[in-house]
This record gives sequence, C-alpha cells and structure tokens, in this order.
Amino acid sequence: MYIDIDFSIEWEEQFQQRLDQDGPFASWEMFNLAYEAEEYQAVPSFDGLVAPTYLPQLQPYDHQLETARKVVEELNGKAILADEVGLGKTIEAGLVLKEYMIRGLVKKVLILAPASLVNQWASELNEKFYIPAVPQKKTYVWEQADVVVASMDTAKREPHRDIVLNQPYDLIIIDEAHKLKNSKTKSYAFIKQLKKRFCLLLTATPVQNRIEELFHLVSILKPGHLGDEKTFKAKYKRSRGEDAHEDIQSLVRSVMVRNRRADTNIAWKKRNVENYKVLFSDEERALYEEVDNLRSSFKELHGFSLTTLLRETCSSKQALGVTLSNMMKKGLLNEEVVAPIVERMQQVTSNAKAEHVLRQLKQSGEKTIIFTEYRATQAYLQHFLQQHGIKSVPFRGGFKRSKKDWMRQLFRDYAQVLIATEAGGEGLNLQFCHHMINFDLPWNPMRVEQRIGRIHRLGQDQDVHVTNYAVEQTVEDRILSLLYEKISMFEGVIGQLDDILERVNETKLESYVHEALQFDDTEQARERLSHLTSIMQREERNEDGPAQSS
Amino acid sequence: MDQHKVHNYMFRYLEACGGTFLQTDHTNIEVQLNRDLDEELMNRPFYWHYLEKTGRTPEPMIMRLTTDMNSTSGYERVHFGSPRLHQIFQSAGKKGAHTRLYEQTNQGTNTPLYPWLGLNVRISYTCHRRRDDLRSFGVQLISGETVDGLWIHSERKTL
Repeated sequence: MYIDIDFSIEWEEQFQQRLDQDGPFASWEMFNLAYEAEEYQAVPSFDGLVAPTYLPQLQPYDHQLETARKVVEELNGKAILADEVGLGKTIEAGLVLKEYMIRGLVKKVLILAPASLVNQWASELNEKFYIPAVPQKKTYVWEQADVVVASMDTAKREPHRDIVLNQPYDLIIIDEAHKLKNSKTKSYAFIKQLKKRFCLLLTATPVQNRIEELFHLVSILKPGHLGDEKTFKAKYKRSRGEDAHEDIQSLVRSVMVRNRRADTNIAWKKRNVENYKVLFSDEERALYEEVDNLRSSFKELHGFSLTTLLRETCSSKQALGVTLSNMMKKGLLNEEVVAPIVERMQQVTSNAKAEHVLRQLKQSGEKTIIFTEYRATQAYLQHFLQQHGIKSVPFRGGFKRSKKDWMRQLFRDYAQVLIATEAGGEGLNLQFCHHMINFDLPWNPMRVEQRIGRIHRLGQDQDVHVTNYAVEQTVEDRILSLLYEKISMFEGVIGQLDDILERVNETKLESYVHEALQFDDTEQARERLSHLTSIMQREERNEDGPAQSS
Repeated sequence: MDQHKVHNYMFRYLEACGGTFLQTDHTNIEVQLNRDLDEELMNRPFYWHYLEKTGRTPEPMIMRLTTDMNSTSGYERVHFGSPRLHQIFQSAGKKGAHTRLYEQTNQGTNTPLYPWLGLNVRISYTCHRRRDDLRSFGVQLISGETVDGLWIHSERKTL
C-alpha cells in the first residue's frame, strides 16, 4: 500500500538560518508557549466533535450536535439534512463546516442559498461560528475569499458560472435544496458539474411529490448510490412493503438525517391561535353578492376564477379591482358584466377587516406581521395604516436581497408592522416579533404553517399569537371552518401535518379543496373534506420514513 | 481549554513579549503593547508604514481583554476558538519556533553538558477525517542516542 506523506520542509531552512547566524532564538517561555499552542489546537481523535469546544457561546441542541457528529463520522460529509422546518439546519451545517475547518480538511467553501438568505447566512457564520464567510457581491470574491455565500441564480449565470466551475471546492452547502428536485433544470446540471469533496443539502422537504426527487438529490451527493433512475423506480414500484423497500430505506438513511420536532427535547413556545370572524358592512356584502351573481349570470366564467374573485373580495376591493381589469384585458370578461360590480365597488368606502386590524394593532401595540395573498391588498393596507399613524414596511418575494434585509431591519428597529405577501414567506427569520395576523388564508395549510414558522421557530422566547381573519358567510368562512379546523392544524405541533402535506401535490390539493367548496350543501362539502383528511391520515399511518412516500 | 487557562496563556504570552500590564485581575487584562506586539496583533500595517515614512513617534495601542463571558466592561471577550486567541497561538508558534537552551547546573562544580537536538513534531493523519499526534523526539548529538518524549524530560530540568 502506498501512503502519501507530506513532510513540512519550511522549518529546515529557518533552522539552518539560525544555526548560521547563531540566532535569534526564542526564550524558553516562548518555546513553551508555542508547544502549548500546538497542544491546544491538536485534534486528539478521529471521532467526536471538536467544534463545540471552540464555540462556547453557541449552545446547540442535542439533536443538532448529534446530526453534525453523524454527518462527519458516519456519512463522510455527504448528506441531506432534512430536519423539519425550524429545527436549525443552518446551525447543523455550521457545526459541520466548523468541524471540518478546525480539522483542516476544508478550506474552500461554497454556500448556495436563496437570494434573500445570503446575507443572513454570512452574518450567522461570522457571528456564531467565527467563520469569515463573505457574501458574493463582486466577481473577484469567488477567487479571493475562501468561504463564499451566493445565490444559486447568480452562481449559475455567466460570467460567474465559469469561475465557479473551474474551482475545486472542499465543501458545498446548498440551502433549500428541494429546488433541485427536477433533474432537467439548469440549476441541477450546474450543481452536478461543480467540483466538490464534501456536500451538504439542506431541505425540510426532501420529497415533495414524487420519489424521484429524492433520487435526484442523492445523485448529487453520491451518483449511483441508489442505482440508476430506471432501476430505482422499478425497484421502488415493485417493492411496496417488501424487503427491497427496506433496502432503499437503509440506503437513504446512509445519506440523510431527518429530525422531527417530536424527537427533540426542545420546549416549544406556546402557539395561541384565534380565529376572528369579521362582519361585512352592508356595502361590502352587496359587492360580494354581486360578484357571486356571476355564477349564474356569466356561465362562461371558470369556477376556479370565480372563487378567486370571491376570495379577493374578502381581502380588499383593490385586489378584486386589479384582477377584474386584468381579466378584461385578456378578454375573459366584458364591460357589461363588470359594470354592476364596479358600481358596487364605488359604494364601498371602508374595509371591515382593515378596520379591525387597526383596532387590534392599537390595542396591543406589539410588533405584528400581517400576511396577505394579494399585492393590491398589501399596498392598500400600508396606505390605510399610514393614514392612522401606524408605520409599516412592505415585504415581498420580488425584492432584491439587500432590500429584503433593509426591510427586515426597518421592521425590527423602526416600524410596528410588516406587511408581507406569500412570496415573502420562505426563510425569513423574525423571532423578535411574536404577533401575526393572517389577513386572508391560502388554500394550502402548509403555506400557513410556513407563515407561522417565520416567528414560531427556534430562538423565539415568547408565546406566539396568531389571528386568522375570515369574513362571515363567505368562501373564506368555509375555508376556515371546513379545512383548517378539520385538520385542527393551528393548535397542533405541525410535525405530522407538514409530513403529510409535503406528499400531497399542492395543485392537487387546491383543486380538491376547490371542488369541495363548490358544493352548496355544507354537508356534502364536509363529506369531501373528511374524505380528504382520511386520505391524509391513511398516508400518515403508512409513513415510517420519507422514502416510502409516493 | 477553560477560561482560566485562556487567561493564563494570554498573560504569559503578553509578558513574554514585553507588554506592560496596566491593570489585571483574574479575568481582565489591560496591557500597553509595545511596537512589536502592536504590529503582531493589531493588524494595522498602514499605520506602521506611515510612521516609518514620516518618522513620527510610534504610539502602540492599549489592549483590553477579558475572559469573563458576561463582562459588560467593553473589553474584548476571549475564549477558546475566538479569533484573538488563535491569532496569539499563531504568533506564539511563529515566535517560539526555535530555541537554544543550556541547563542550569550547580555553579560550584564543572558539570559537562551533553548536546541534544530536540524536535517537536505534529503528525496529522488525514483522510476524510483527521487526527493529530504531537511527538517530541530528541537525539543526543555525541552518542546518537534517540528518545521519544524529550519534552517530558526537559520540563523537569531548569534550563
């Protein structure tokens, strides 16, 4: 066996120099200090983690330490970290990175995160881990800095692409890795081409819809670990509930770590949820009825669009207005149909929900996040609150990275309210806030969970208050009472729920809910939904590990 | 390495480098650096370059360190793993790389001294994981006798 041994030769020359010149020699004390420095810094054993001793300020949870240990010792630094939302995957990745850096095994590191999280990653690594991570802003950073944080979209674009592909990386960390579930995307091809030694993929949802997604993720880490795609799929299909299934599971376990909330010893802060039923003013009610009339007066309108219009009416007339004008531009609606609605809209002078938001904000005086589905509502609310002397900042997905950071900071130090649209949901950490208002509710309960996850996460030191608004006797009312209360998701720890929902195709779910709501008869709708919940429950019983999903 | 050890280590290092202590207790160190230490630790090469060019009197900085992690005194908090301590480790490693020592013997008698060449080595076993082994070898330059663990022997002597 050939063993490659590197001898350090620097010392020889320096030693010779000192012999020739008869000095300078260090004092005995300094020589001692040098030896002790080495002693303190030496890594005594292959096993275990040394990183925590270097980070006394950081107090990681047991499951985070265990995960980091497992990744380094058992998974050889190639792993999918698939903890549930809010268990601190960043901390785990940071621990692994630190461990490797202390052991001198990793120098050149690339971290790919969504644009909105790039600065957050860099500052967390710097502050919590003393790792000099640099957010990529100028082209030269790629080559000059050892630890670079960048967004996937930037990295895969020229001229960055070439530079990144030409450098070998010791460790690559990819946050929100489920974006790589599709092997046909450019991002995926780009990641496959990267030269890497160790690699961590971070995602709370390794499998969203289909088992192939997991296959593709594993292929990034260890090509061929699960065989090729065709055999894998065939094997998986054939093997429902048989031995081969176990095989796949154990293979997956050797590249993936998944902690669930229930498995950890963390005392979660309480989550107080209140559903508030708003009463429409007479004008608003009339507008709602008018829109609802489209159902009979304008049959061409697709059912789904109608529901959308109704939901928008419940949010704000502005949201409704924007969609109506868009639909007219596309020729889906004609003036004749829209005219009576517009007339009703002009009569509406107030927004019952907004009024109540104002009352609630004034009463509590607390920092609050308001979530809405619609941009128009967002703008309206900001204007409305400003008129009543409440400062608010907007937040949405389209903002640039720096603007998002800026908005977050403004909210923390300056404004009482942050008004976010759906896209603002992912990856935003707002633990300093513990009040949330859902101005309107999305179809998919998982999205609500993501919203709540912005504040109900590790590091939150107070109980969290969530208020859901729904207008009485409208489509919203039904979403709330039928879907959400049925799943009784709000009070619960979402552990299982996100697990189930990540398996149910989002669009499938939406159309299912939509269908259910089409029934005028509440009884019938209830039946549909209880059917849906039972499907979910059945899935849950069948699930032991994520590998078994379909 | 506990905080007490960190404190002692820093104190010994600063003392060995000739810093002047202004105030110290069991957690805090306030030290007037000399030029050498300032250049080594404060990372301001431009300042020193500027001084050299203009010929002004150098004004080394005062360094305030604490090992009390809850300290609010505004002193720099140092612990094992903090960049400052590792900078000091690096510096000590560089400064203390070579030495030549003579054993102190009874002054009345003439004791012949034997020349020893000592070598401290770190052996790193590296693959996808790593382990270090610190060894200290010594060669007696007359007889050629070789010992492992010279460090332990020499620690007992007065040098």
